[in-house]
Amino acid sequence: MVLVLALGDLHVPHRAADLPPKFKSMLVPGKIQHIICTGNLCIKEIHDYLKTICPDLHIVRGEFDEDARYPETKTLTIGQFKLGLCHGHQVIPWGDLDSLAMLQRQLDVDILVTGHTHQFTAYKHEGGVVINPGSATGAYSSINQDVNPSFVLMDIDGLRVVVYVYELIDGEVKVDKIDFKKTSTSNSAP
Amino acid sequence: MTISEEIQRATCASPSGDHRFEKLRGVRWRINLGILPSSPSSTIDELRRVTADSRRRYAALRRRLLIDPHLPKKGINSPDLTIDNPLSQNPESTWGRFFRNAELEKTLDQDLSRLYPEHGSYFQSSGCQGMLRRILLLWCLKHPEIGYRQGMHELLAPLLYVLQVDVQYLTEVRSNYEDQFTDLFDELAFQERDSAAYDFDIKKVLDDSMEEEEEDENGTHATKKKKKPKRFDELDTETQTAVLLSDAYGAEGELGIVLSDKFLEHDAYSMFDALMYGGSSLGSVSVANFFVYSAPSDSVTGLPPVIEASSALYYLLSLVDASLHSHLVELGVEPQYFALRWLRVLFGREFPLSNLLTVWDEIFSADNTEVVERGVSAVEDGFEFRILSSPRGALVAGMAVSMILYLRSSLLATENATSSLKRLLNFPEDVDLCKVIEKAKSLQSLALEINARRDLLPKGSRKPMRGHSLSVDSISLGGSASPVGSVPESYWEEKWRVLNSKEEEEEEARRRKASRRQNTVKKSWSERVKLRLSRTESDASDRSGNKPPIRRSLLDDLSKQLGDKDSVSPTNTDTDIERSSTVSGSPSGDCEDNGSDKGKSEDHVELPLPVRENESEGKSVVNIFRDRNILSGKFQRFWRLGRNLSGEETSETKEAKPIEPEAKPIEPVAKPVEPEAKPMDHEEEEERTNSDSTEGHGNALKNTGRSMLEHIKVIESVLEQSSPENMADNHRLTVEEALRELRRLGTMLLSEM
Repeated sequence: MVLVLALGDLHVPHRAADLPPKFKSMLVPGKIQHIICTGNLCIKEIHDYLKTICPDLHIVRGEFDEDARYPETKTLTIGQFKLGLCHGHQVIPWGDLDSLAMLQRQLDVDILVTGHTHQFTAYKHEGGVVINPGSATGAYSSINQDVNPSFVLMDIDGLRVVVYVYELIDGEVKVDKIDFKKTSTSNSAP
Repeated sequence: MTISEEIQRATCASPSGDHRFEKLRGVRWRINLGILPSSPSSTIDELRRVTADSRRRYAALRRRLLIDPHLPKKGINSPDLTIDNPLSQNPESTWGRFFRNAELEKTLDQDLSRLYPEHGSYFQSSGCQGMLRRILLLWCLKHPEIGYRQGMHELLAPLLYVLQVDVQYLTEVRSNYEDQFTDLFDELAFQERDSAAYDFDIKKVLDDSMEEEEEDENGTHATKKKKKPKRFDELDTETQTAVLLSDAYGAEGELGIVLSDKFLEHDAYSMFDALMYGGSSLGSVSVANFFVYSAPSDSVTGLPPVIEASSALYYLLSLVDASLHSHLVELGVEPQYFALRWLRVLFGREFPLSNLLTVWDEIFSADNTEVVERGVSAVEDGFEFRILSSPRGALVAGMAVSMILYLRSSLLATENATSSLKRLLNFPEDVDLCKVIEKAKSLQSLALEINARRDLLPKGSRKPMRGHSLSVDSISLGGSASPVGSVPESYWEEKWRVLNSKEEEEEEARRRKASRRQNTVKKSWSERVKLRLSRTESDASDRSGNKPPIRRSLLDDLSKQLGDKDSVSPTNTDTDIERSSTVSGSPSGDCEDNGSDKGKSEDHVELPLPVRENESEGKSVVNIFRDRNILSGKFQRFWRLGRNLSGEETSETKEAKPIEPEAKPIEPVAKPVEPEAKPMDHEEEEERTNSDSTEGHGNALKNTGRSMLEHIKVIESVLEQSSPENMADNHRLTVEEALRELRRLGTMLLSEM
């Protein structure tokens, strides 16, 4: 029953001023156990803000991040799942599933979280899951014209993970849910 | 403590009349708490049915309130995700409730992790902790008006423990009597009852080290391993009961197994609920009320129930042991400082677990319904102490007071509030529990009696002052039922009384000195003595056991002697102490004299006068009983002082020992006069008293009289300097010293005779 927040590509203050107020009102401290961030925050203030939501914060380096000490990739284990984290600008073509799958195999993780495209995607691929939480602020992207603010909340419970996607479309928060189950070799979706 | 010992203790303390479940404390308690039917005629089947019902209720509650957000709500195929996502701010969402429960559980865990570390092998095991957590969580969710308060876990833990003990007893019985527990499916036993034997005397098996051996049905002590098959009817009743209670095919099937391992949680929940919200009537003990912070709307005093109950304790204590009560009050020890913990956890923190179970046996066996007399409920009538109006409440109060009395000597020795509280809150481990419980029971009956005589209870502000039949009641109760108002008032009233008496004496002394008359029809010192003696005599006859008969005779002696002394008193004109032989015999002479004195005195202080007027205008009878109270209170306190001092003075009084008992009656007499002695007076007097033994009779008297007057002079001077309220410490010391002096003088006088 672990709640993990995945977000990234905020680009504050260069391309966006702050998170949308509706998102901010939802992110209250105390509910979330881990935060994984794909990068491009870009400033320390956002880092501190995320720390207030949850003290356990994992961050990887995006190309516009001002703190150069973040790693390029990161792996962590939560419950029964292994998670991998990378910003995604290192993997070309940007957003290509097969290339990301190569990275997933390389890191040997069940769930790979990347960003950079500012577009939410979630693929099931070869026994694993590749998730892109999009941009939490809806910042401008050079490869994607229509950007909605979005982030992802994962509920990890034993061998099952429920992915809740929160998107701000036309000023309203829309929620969607995807179930993944981990088995030894393959996974099944509902 | 092993389970077998526990079962043994369960047997020893079976106060109730229903002897069916002597070994099964859990069942007994469930009966007492009202969960199971309590009439002795209820059959096992009925018990089973009621048990099953309560368990069903709990299961339904659990299903309703324990939330697993992953499970989809019934009937909703696609839940509205905007509401039902984990981050939803909507309070109705399942996730919202889930998080709220999680917060509550965190609070619970803080307490549960510290529960009974000394019995940690059971209480800290994850199964037990899980059960406790769930029970408390569900109860708090069901009663949101109270929520969770610290201490509830301590109430719940022994209940669960007791049920566990029962189950373990059952397993022991099972292992010994396996042939009785055969699966009687369709009346066919699955296995033949073989003749392989089982030890008949189960008790012997259960507890190898036990001393008392119980006899089996045949009246013989069982020896080793008799090989004999037993049919069901030949088992002793207890085992029979155990078998029937746990039969899987009896009424209600498995759900009806009264001693069941699977349903520990359910049963513990119902016991806890019954304990917290036990009583149907207003007067009964519902422990949940002790956790409430605000006063209930129909309360008379407007105090939260726990404060009210604490003051009930103090009231009871003041009736039984006024000196201890006044001592605690003087130190400023409010009853709720310690009573809060005692009452909220029903003494759970004061006794080790085994003792606690015995105490709770007693408490639960007391009936919890309000004692209603002549169709009038005490509580409805507006009396203050709700806790005293049911036998169980009275026993709880009695238990608390008996615990305070147990610590009497150490409490009286304390100098400040902190150390008294320390003593009270660290109740000693090795307590003679039987005695404490005995005392509690006697106090319980006292409390119930008080409750019955409504006119003695402190009433709420609705009704005016108390009754006329005060003297009758106080005598019949055999205690110093002081005619006080509500308890807080009584504290101050006593203080006022003490002050008042001092003022009285002060004025008397002054008046005496001013008038310088010898044979006036006025209160003389000896006269006073006689009056007080007469009162204490009658008082002594009333008290049960407070004063041994020998003292009464000594009081008689003293009064006789004083009478003699009066007649022999010298005719010296400059004796300052009146030895007038006129005696006014009536007990109300005190007040009359006061009244008469008023007119005669000249230079009396203003302060005592209005006070006196109140007194004489008011109830003279009340006065006397007040005085009596002073005497009774101070008596016990100064008895000890007197003891010490008379030990010191062996050089002077050769007959110190035999005179000692006589010295004691003089103390209450001495106190009201209260002269003061400075050290030099002491010395002066010493040499004087030394010379007394050699001089003549009259001279001795003269000298003692002179010294006494000096004491009085000294007291006057001190009192002129400072008012009695804020008398400095050194003054108080001198007062006490003066007291001692006067006592010695009295001793001297008697030794002269």
